[in-house]
Amino acid sequence: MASPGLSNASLAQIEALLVPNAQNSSQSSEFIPQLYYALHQVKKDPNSSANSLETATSSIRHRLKQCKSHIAESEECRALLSKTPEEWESALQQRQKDLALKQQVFARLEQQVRDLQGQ
Amino acid sequence: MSTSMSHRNPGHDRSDSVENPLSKVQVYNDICEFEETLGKLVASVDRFNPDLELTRTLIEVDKRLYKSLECLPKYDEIDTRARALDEEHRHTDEKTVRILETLTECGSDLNALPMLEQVEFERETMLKQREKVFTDVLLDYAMKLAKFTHVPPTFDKGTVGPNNFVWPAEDAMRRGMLAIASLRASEDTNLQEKQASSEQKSSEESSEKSSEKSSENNEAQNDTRSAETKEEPIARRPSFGFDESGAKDHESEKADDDIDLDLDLFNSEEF
Repeated sequence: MASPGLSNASLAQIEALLVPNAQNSSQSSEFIPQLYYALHQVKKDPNSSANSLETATSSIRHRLKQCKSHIAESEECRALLSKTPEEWESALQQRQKDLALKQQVFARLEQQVRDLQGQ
Repeated sequence: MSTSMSHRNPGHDRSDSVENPLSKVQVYNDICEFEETLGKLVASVDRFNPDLELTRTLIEVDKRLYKSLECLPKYDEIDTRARALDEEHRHTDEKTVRILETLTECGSDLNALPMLEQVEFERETMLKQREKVFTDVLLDYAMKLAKFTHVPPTFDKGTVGPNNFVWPAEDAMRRGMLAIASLRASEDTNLQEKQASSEQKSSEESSEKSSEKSSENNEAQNDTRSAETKEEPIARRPSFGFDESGAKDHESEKADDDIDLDLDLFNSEEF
């Protein structure tokens, strides 16, 4: 799951909060193994108040809330994640076409200026 | 025991609201779903009634969440490409603005230049105007010459004298009402003289036809009438007619004209 490092700060923040063993991650455990271990502790000593599942999963819920608030506050992150990669691909292709059209206009204008200079 | 359908997509339930901009963010929806399912599972375990279906749902949601998180590098790449494209678009727009400004300046410069037809028309107009000699130029030149030249010897000054004017002379205008009154007085005296002479002639003719006796009385009467007629001009004012006195006056006026040359009654150089 570890990536070589994300250049986008918002994405890197999400990765650090949710993805274990990420480069900047302080959290090194996945959710399911952590839950399995907590359930095992509860099953082993169900009457112990220290082995409450609520307490054991509090760190997971804290990480989830941090991630949610980060996405909700970052407009750039919301705009980026609101489209699927396929939708983004088509949008980028359209932008590329628009840019190519502008460059074609420049090329035509340059040719016209050269023709006028030749006259 | 709750059904799996009831909490399968809590994020989608929230996303149904149009106002929530986070509804399209799949990672956010997965996190919300995971959080909700986890809360339900913890509640069921704490009530010593664990729901295995919730654990299966939690595992599925976890898979979906990590699958979405696997797309983060793709999103990062997309973000990099989008930033690069935005930068290129920005450069292109700036270049377009510069080009448009330059083209506008060139257009205004070209519009400021005169057109070929206009230049030819102005040239023809100037050439036509050069062929003409304006009165201002002529008068300026004449005024320059007038400072150093005199009236031509062949020019008759009398032809432009006040006597030939249609308006009264300067001295007559200066005299004003006195001159008019004197003219009227002279006209009255002339009329009286004419009447007197006509009466005298008629009386003479009648007296020749009448008896010789009354000739002495008539002669005496004629003497008295002639005396009266002789006395009348003495009482009259001097007329301005062309008689001797008028000639004398004219001579005196000529003398006055010679004296009043400084009054600029008539300046022949102005014509």
